[in-house]
Amino acid sequence: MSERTRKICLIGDFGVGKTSLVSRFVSQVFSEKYLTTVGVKIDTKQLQTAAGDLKLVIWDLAGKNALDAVRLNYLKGASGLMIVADGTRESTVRSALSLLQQSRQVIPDAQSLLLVNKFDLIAEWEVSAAALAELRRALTVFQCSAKTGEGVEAAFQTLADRMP
Amino acid sequence: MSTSDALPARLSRYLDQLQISPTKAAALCFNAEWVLQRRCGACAQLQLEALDDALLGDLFRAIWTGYSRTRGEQLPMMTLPNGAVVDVHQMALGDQVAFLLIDRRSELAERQALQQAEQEAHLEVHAQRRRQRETRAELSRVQSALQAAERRNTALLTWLEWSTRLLGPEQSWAAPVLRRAAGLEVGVPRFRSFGELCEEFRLELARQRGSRRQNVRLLFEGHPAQTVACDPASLRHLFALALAQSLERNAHGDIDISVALNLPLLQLRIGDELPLLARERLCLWDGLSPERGDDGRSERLLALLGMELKRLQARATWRSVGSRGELTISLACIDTDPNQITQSLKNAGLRGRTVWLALTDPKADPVLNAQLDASGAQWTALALQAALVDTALRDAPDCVVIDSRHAKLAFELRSRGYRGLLVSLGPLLPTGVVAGALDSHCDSSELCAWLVRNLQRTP
Repeated sequence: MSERTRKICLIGDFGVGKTSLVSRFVSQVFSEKYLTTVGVKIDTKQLQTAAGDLKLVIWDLAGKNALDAVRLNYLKGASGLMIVADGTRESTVRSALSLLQQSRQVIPDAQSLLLVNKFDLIAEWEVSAAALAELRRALTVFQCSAKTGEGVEAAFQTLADRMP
Repeated sequence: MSTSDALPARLSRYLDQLQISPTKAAALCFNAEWVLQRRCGACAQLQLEALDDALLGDLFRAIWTGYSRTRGEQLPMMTLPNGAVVDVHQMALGDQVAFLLIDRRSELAERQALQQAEQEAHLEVHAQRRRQRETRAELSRVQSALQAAERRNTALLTWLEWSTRLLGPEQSWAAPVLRRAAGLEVGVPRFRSFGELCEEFRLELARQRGSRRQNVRLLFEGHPAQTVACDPASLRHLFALALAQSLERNAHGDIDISVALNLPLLQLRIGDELPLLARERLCLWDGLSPERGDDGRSERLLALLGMELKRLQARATWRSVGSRGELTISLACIDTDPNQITQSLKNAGLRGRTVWLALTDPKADPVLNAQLDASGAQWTALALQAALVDTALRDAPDCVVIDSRHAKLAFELRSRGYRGLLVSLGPLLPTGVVAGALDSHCDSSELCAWLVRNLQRTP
């Protein structure tokens, strides 16, 4: 791979907002309409890091709470991993942690972040502050909202800055 | 780079084996440096013609990172940045790497529809369960509120019942006064201790007695520290009139005055040597204007006393006690502790405790600000903004008070490990996980008392 092109993958349960986060980050758009992702979507984005210009190749994997052989294959070569959960569904946080563990089989050295999406719907959240504080002991966690954009840019930038 | 519609023979044979029409596939061939050597097949169908060679080279070099250039890997159902939906089959073609892109757009819609239906069904079940939980939680809140109101009403009724029971049949007039008094809120700033009232009565006696020759004994029955809610000026006036009429009628005799606090009544008893005459009683009971009766000073004083009794809804009785007469004036009052907050705050020992106020307008509540000043706590007003979270994590105040309309900031603070006390303040009651992040929700009248109770406990 050329010096400054890096592959990152977004994984997580269905409906947590992976595609919306990519759409927000790449195109600054958001749609309320839910359209499930089949297979994997590839997008690219240029950004600046401390180490210089970086081209991110973003793999948005279809949502599932487990990685089968096909999805594990999608992860090959990734330098970064965003595991996405939906704050309004506590089960998706458990899925995210399970997915992270599974992904280590293929990309043990990838930098990883946990994004807990839909912070704009805090009134409906099931994930408590205490739970997030506990997660933060082991992971870098971002509370974000693809709808409002809160935390999205910061999350991608943080991951980009951490990749060698 | 060469362009042709025909796929290389090897790729065509490969497609035959997969039973896929060559019209549904395009091929891109790259050299070892990822320079595009050839594009062929259904490139137009897959919208590849709009992408230049360099772009395609960069894209596939990026896509193929981590994958073998020789082992014939496959990546199914990839949506490329140009919108093409393809299965990607890689194979070696001589010294080039070829990517066969098989168009899967026609299957996408069907797979998407099936997948979407299944997922939406799961999401709807989850939404229904959430609505049920919210309904149960709301019901629980309503029940708690009703129970709290019932407890308050029960306590109030108990107090009223207790107070009313202390009244004898002749004092039943005081019951409605007590009921009105029960509506007084704590914080009505007219409190006097019994000792203070006694001192005022002593001063009034000293003023009126002057050079008079009567013996006047003034006794007090009640604990000096007992506080009552009252109108002190009216009480003084009432005492002054009662004393004045007795001094006027009893120019030479002894007068015994007792002031007794027998909650819920304050009772003033004046015993002297002359009975009240009929016309005098008329003046007292009916509050008759002196112009209607005799022009005597005592009648005028009794009439004024009668009017004051009516105004204060007090009652007077007169009776013979041996050779003397005794006028008893009863006034309903309630005992209550003065607002303890200020005193508690001064004694609270909150010096050295840091409290941050992150409110829309921290200066809008001067009473709260004054109470915080009295507490000795080191309090700071801050702007409501995202940077508050980082600052609070860095500086770690003992307590952060946040406008309840922005209680989400409290959630962020707690989720990022803030260990101090978090309180929301204002009309909106936080719910759900936001409420879970808070130590309490207060309105401004409760905040300082809460701080006193809770900040003292923190190390």
